Amino acid sequence: MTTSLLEVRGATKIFARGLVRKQITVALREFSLAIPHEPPVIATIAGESGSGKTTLARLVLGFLSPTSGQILYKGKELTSLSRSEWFDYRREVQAIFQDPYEVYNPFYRVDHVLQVVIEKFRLAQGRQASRALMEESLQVVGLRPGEILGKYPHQLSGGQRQRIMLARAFLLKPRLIVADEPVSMLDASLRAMVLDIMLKLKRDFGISFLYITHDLSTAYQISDTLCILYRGAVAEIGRAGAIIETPKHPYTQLLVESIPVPHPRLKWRGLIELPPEQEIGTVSTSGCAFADRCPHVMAVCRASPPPLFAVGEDQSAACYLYASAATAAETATGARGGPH
Amino acid sequence: MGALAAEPVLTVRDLVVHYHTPRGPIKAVEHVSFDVYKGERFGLVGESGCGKSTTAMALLRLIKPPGRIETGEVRLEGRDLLTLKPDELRTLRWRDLSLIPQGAMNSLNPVMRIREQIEDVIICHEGRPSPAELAERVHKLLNMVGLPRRVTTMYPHELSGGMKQRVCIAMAIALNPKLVIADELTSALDVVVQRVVIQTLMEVQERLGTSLIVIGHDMGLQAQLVDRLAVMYAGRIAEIADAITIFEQPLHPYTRLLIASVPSTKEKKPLQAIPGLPPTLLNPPPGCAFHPRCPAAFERCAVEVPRLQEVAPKHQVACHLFSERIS
Repeated sequence: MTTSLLEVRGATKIFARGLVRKQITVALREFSLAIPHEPPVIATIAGESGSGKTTLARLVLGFLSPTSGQILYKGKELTSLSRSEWFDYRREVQAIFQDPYEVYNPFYRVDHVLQVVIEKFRLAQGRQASRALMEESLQVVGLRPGEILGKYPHQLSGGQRQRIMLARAFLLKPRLIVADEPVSMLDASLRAMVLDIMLKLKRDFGISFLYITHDLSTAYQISDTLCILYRGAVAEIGRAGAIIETPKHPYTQLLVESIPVPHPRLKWRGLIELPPEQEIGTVSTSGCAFADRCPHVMAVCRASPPPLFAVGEDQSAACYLYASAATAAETATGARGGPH
Repeated sequence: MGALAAEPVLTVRDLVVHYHTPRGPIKAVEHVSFDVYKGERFGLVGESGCGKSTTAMALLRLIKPPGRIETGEVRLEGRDLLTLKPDELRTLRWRDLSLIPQGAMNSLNPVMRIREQIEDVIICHEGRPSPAELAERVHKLLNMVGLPRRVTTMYPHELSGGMKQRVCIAMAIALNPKLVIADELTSALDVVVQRVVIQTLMEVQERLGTSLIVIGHDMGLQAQLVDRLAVMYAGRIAEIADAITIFEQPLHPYTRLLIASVPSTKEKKPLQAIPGLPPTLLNPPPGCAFHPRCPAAFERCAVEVPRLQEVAPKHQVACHLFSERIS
């Protein structure tokens, strides 16, 4: 088996707080994912707040290290990279974040965020060459350099600022961009534009994305693979189209059903309730994290966390409902990625 | 939904709100007129900066300097809100007209228990009832929004976002107002929690027969929630009609693009963005403010501001494509 570009192998991240009575939060549990060298993919991690999706992004970017498990880039563990390998990693793996307002220093013109990158990574020699490089990267993200360069951040819209961050990432010709909620603060009309650029960077420049979002409808439109997280554990993973069109895990079903359809004749059916304990997050179960909310809950669900069962071609769900249908368990699809 | 009484609870006529800056007035709301009927859920939609929140704040007279209500008339059951004295206004807020503010979950007082915050609203307006009666009312309100009794003794930080949002709903309906304004009710919530909050709001609204103005940018949510809606662009209303008409036969090109920009989960199709950027309200384009982005624009659009006109019963559009037809 060839090594993947990025591989997360059984990563668990536990946060502990308090000295005397330790409170333990499992932010991410036994998570595995692989992004191949070829072809480029958009791999989406979706889940509600507290599902562990941002923890995953921070692990991949090296801001946090896993409590157990490994994160490998081109087959090498992040923690064991040498200085020069780490420098390469920081060039080849880029990030864009949710808030395009906060990442800019308001005292500098926006050219600064591009200039810093060019200097730090010695991408161009001399003013003219670096200006040409900036212009090229802005054009790739559909901005007119003349309207952008020389402006201060407050003079630009959120959509423009987010596209400049994409241009900045593009300057480095990365292999992977970790995009943590890149469009959730943008209006619908601008959202499409940013997502389109992600598709273009993937198609024309072979850049893969780890797209982190809580919005399943944009995930459906642009991703190749999709992983639904619930309270730190994978609920369902596989091909994005399959998961949204035929969700198998009861949690995924609830999520897909709750997306507001832009049509007044297609309204939500049935009322749903959230158990207050779950909402406040005070429960900790030894079994499936969704058991308390699940309409199909069985005794086994509370006993131990469910492994992934194959529920279709390129689709697996961590739910005991599918235990009998797929005894071959997770090995069948390989959707989970990584060696088994 | 139910049968809508013909009588409006709220009438807004020719409302103009400007923010005065050193560089000139920002025309946030320009000649906005609409009605909200009894028991109706009315939506006000548009992209950020289109003036929808400013309109709502103007209804409540919460515009702060440098903003100013220039002209207009806002009548709640016949009373003109814009000419009320400050103390009349204070008694009217919460009792007749209440607001669930944007980012409502951050608007709760972090050092007061939930019970005290709800009691505060009741005591300020109705005087202090007996402790037993007060406790009973708080429990009833929390029950109505689907929260357990023990929430009363909790502090805001102990609650999830969706729960805090429902506390805000409970406060907004505490005095059984005629009209509730919800500004971006669920913009920071996950889909499932969002659904629970909206379901709660709809249930309560139906039970009390309150009118509701829902402000938002998400066309999907509007479709789920409102009976009738107004689409705003650059401080003006582009189109008003009932929800079914807006989604099935939208007339204004902006409305059409806004609906098309919602990503589908039923079929994969190229994402559709609205070309260009929303205008600055400091210096909006002449004529129809949407004309630089409009796929159907013609000469007249660049010179003349289109008036909001009724093109079919209860369907108003401000677009020259349709004003020709009438005149």
